[in-house]
Amino acid sequence: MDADLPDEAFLLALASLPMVGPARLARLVALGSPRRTWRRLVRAGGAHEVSQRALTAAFPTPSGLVASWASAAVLFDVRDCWRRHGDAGVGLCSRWAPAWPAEAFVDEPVPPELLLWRGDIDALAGARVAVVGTRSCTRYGLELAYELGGDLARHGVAVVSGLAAGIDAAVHRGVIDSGGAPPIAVVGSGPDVVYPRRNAGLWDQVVANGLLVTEAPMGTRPEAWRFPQRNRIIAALGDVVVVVESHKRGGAVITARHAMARGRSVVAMPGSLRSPASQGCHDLIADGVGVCRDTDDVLLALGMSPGARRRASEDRCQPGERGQQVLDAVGWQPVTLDAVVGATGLPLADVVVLVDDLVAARWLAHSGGWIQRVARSNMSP
Amino acid sequence: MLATTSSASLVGTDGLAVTVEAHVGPGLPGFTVVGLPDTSCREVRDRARAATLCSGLKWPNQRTTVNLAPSAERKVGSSLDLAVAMVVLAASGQVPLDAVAEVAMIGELGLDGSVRPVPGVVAMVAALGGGRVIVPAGSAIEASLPGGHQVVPVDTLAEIVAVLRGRIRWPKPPVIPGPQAGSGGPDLADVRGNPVARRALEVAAAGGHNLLMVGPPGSGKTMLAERLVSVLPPLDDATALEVTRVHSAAGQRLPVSGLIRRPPLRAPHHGASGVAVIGGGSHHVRPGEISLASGGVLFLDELPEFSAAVLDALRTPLEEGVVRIARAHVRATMPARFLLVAAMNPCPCGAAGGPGQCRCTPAALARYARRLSGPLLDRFDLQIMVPVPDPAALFDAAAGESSAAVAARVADARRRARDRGLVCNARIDGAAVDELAPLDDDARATLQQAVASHRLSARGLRRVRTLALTLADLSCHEPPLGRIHVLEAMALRQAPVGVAAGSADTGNVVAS
Repeated sequence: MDADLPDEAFLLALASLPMVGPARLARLVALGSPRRTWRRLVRAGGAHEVSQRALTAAFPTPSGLVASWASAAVLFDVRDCWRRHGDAGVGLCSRWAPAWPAEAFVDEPVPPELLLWRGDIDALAGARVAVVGTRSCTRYGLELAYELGGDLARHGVAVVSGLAAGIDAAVHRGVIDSGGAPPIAVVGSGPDVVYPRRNAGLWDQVVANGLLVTEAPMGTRPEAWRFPQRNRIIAALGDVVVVVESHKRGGAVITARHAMARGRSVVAMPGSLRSPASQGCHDLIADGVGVCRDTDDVLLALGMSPGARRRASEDRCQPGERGQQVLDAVGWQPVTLDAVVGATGLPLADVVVLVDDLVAARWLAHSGGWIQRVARSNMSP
Repeated sequence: MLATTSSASLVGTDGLAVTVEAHVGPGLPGFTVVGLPDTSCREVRDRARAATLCSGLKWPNQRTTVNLAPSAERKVGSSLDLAVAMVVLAASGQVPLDAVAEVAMIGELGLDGSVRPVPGVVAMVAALGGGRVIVPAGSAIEASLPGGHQVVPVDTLAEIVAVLRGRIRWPKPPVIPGPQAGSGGPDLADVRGNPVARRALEVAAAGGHNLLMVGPPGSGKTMLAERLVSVLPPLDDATALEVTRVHSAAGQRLPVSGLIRRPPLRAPHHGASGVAVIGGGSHHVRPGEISLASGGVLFLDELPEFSAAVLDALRTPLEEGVVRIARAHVRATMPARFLLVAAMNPCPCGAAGGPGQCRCTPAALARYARRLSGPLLDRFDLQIMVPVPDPAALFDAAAGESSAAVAARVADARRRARDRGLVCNARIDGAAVDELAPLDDDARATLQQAVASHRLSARGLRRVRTLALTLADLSCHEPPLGRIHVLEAMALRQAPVGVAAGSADTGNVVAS
């Protein structure tokens, strides 16, 4: 019944189970193909206690959790979930897909198994700087964040932040208002769940002008435990991490520590010694991270990172008008040949030749009957 | 007195000319039939006697012996009833001897003296030498199909006796109605979505390539298969007569005009026994589904549910185009030149679980895949995945191309194959591929790359080339074949997604 769904659909279903974060998802994926793991859960959900015990032995998690997954899996409609993501235009790739931004996660201890995005994934191509800070910031921090975001974007550097209130929002606004490099936002909730609500307008602007990334499936609530996980992706995507303002135990400090653990450059902006909103920054500076006085300090740090040498330009030959038609039809989810022929209205023979050309030109990848797009950012520097 | 006439019996789908002799002479009253009649044939004694008496004629009260020559061949069925009754009447002096000797007669008798149709009249008349053939009125049109005979339709025994005595005129031969206007049937225009499957149907029809469709329930596999006959060209005269002969021998209903012009579609249920599918029987050899599908399409829905023995028995007929049945008492060769179309689910649970909820265990998947032997799968040139069409396509898309438009291209492609001296491209044998399907440089490079990257096996290579030749024929392209043909051929012969997904768990399932 479900053979016409790709493995990604089952990965998405696994990620939609209650209390599944990156670590548990990674352990579920380590058990075998997502399709098989999902089938085992569904079977256990409809079966007796005996097979649930066997299941608990197979899944290295508390037994109550496995039972709740199994009963959730029985009621879960994989096809509908897959279709909803497709209809919403949410891009999606697993860690093994050609669109995967491999270079960002090489040194990541728990890399995401699944990335979802809205907007243009090619925004990841080129150098990236993460700018992070506290939600309860001062006017001083807001102004610095807005200016830094705009400056970096005008220099063609993509700015990554978290779309939270406070510093994050100011950074994104600065980037969007500058009209420079595209904004990149990493969020903890599902790609359709706007949080906080008052950022709804900004959220849409980021999607329209740049890229919004998450590892949570659509409909995921912004649970508190997802935000530190979100921070590790921000740290992974930033070639340099700038902390604008942070309290002593703020999320921005966590992001900075994640980045330092991966050997990324971290710089912090100093503030008033009397301001509690800058205490985290001062602690980082005392620990030896660089001081960020202006945009030049960030660009200098960036100049020493591999991100500066990454090619931002497109070196693949242009797909041509009909090739572009096929690329648009494929979109960012794996599809079958049937779907491409249906969407383009071209004869099968033309489609297979165009697909073969695009595979040769590295625009598409073709595996096991599924056709997927390849992202530009995946090109090695 | 001794009387002789001609009649015919049936062996498989072929007629057997039988000389029927009767001797009525002195001795104890009795009636014997000799010459290897089987049970159904020996019953003639009771039927002939009752029919004779009911028709107001006399049954000889003497020693009566009927011989069926050649006596070494076993005769089955009731087609000899009429001839037996007539020779007994002639031998007992009620009908002129020479009048009976000059004609052949085929038909079953009712106890009331009526003459009833029998199956296989086409083959039986074809086996007779010519001249007058007396047949049941209901079989008269069938009897006219082989040509070269004067067909005499009769309704009762009394009527034929009156004719042979010269009391009434010979009945007029039957008027054969012209071919009926195209009898509709399902049209490809009804199919929305499934562009790849539509293309595969066209290619299957044009090149005679066998087709395997893998897809979840509700994806339209059966609907597609039923429409394949609508794009096949109508049968030519020789094939039409052969198909009609087989259908007549199996006792199937024939069209009003007699001759079957539309390629037949046979879709046996997966519970069918070996004898039902292949043909056979211990005494009376009957044509199976593969012979009834000859000239048309054999559609096997739920392919893995068929018994493994039945599926493997299909292999020889698929290669040879005929099926040879050999039993202790009887041997028969029947036509079996069919296009095989099969459909299967990607896994056994089918619709049992809800959408996206396959409940199959890996072991069940492996069992499911094992039912199809490699050699059988290899005979499917076209192997495609049929996904559930996008709901939007079902409602919004314009109706697909009609069968008539596709059939025109198919007929053109078939003509090109005939010009090459082939029945269809699928029958190109290994040695002739290089000569008939040459490749240009691009195509050669593409295929070499596919073989090098294990997308294509050496065995698959030849199949892909014949497929590519059919694709070129469909686009009116003269060989050498280009990259476009080769690539499309590979797309139509892909290890289907579903089975391939199963094979990740179970080892390599589909030989490509």
